[in-house]
Amino acid sequence: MQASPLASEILFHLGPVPISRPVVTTWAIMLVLGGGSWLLTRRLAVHPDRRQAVLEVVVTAISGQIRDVIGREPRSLLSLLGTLFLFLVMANLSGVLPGVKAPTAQIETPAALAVIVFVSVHWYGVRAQGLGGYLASFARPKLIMLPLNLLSEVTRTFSLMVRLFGNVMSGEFVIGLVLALAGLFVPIPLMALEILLGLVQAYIFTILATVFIGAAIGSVEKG
Amino acid sequence: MDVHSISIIAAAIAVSFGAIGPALGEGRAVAAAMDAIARQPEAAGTISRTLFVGLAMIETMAIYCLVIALLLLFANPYAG
Amino acid sequence: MHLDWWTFALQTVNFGILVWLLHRFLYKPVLQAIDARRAEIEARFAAATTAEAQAREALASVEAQREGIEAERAAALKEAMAQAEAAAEARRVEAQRQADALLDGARKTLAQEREEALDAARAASLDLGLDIARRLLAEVPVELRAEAWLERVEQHLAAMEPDERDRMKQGMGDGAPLRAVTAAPLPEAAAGAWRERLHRALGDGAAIEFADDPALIAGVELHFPTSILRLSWRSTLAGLKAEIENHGQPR
Repeated sequence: MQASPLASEILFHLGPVPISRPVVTTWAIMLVLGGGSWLLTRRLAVHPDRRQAVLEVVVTAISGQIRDVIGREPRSLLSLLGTLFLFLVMANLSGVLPGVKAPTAQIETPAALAVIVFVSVHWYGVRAQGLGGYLASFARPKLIMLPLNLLSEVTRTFSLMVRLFGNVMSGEFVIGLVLALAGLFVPIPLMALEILLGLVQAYIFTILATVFIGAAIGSVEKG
Repeated sequence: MDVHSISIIAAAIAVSFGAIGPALGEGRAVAAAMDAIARQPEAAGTISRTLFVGLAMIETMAIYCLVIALLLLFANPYAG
Repeated sequence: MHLDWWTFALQTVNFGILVWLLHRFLYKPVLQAIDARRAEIEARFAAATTAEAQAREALASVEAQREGIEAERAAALKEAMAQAEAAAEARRVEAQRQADALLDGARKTLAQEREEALDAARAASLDLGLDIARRLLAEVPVELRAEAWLERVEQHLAAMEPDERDRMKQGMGDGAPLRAVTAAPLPEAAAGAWRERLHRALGDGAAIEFADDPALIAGVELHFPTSILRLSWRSTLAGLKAEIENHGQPR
């Protein structure tokens, strides 16, 4: 039996702070994303070259998806949700690289993201509807729905976390198992499936976060 | 039969039965989505996005079962 | 299963930093570039719209000008046509006038020529008549010819007013002669008869001379000292000739 997929591995200590493997991987992803975007957006022109065209396609595609879901101008949400999507894509796909474990395969990273989404939903809801209006929206359509709405706030955040964590972790776990049974070539289809699943999970996480925020700001029916 | 054996059996039962329901549900969802796209090809984008979100929701049930199984196997609170 | 809170906290912070990083380095510049391009496209579109409007305006003005030119041309054509018609009318009137004048002149010339021919014929007939009269007279004896004229002189003198007769006789008493000129020389007997009868008519004491002048053709002229009494064909013919030369109008 191999090591538990649920435990996170501590690589080193920075003072009293234990630095685990997902944190290091996340730093690497931050470096790649931040440095890459800094390099790519240094010279932007009105007439785009190929590099800028790709960047613009990425940004406009993300903002178009957000606009499709919430039906509003997505500028204020683009930074959070776009970063969420790009980070999740990078994090989920980083598990394919040899010697790297996806940060999202550890429960802490999905938990952190889910909590950030949870806080953002209420932040945007209060900002859009005001504190009273936002709190009143929990009592719709009837007052008796209030506990269920509150419960659903918790459970959907929890399910968001567990869905991402379970998918990525189980994929890596299955790949590890197959790799232990038959080393060569056999895991390749599973790895391709893992890439697809990673992209789908990143998309779903982002879309669900968008739907939650849209529901909080009142442009999407709560579900 | 000790706790370990029961945990292993329980994990297997959780994963196997937990896969049945989501499998049926996903099959129905995909069939309905295909039907809808065949009727309204111009709405394929919206239907596909909704289908993915729904499939992820349904699959979450299977994932819950998998997480329970893994908890039983690797982080069993009763195993001491 | 336990949650590593340090990792959780670090991942939360990491994600926050990543959001800021991407906001600062990715979304903002890209969105700014897109906005700049959209602004430029809109500016160009507005410029193109303005240019199109200006082009339309220019086209409309050109069309208006062309229509103006056409109208002007039509007006000029009409005016030229009117002028040409007026000129043609004027020419026609002028031609008519000239033709009338020509016709008139021709008519006048014709009348004049006819007149002249008539005058010439008259003159010729006068000459012819004169010639005939001369020849006929030549056949008549002088006495008879003179006799007739003497009677006429007597009648004329008798018909005169006494004042007039006295005025004619003035100067005769001073010895100035009364010359009686006849066409042919009078024989002695006839001259005596003339002298007697003239004495009777004018009173005695007057010296009477006789002379002859073939140019008289027939008749007599009495030359008083102050006046001449002409009763001859010459004077009558002269009157006729003058009448003919004056185109038949009596003097």
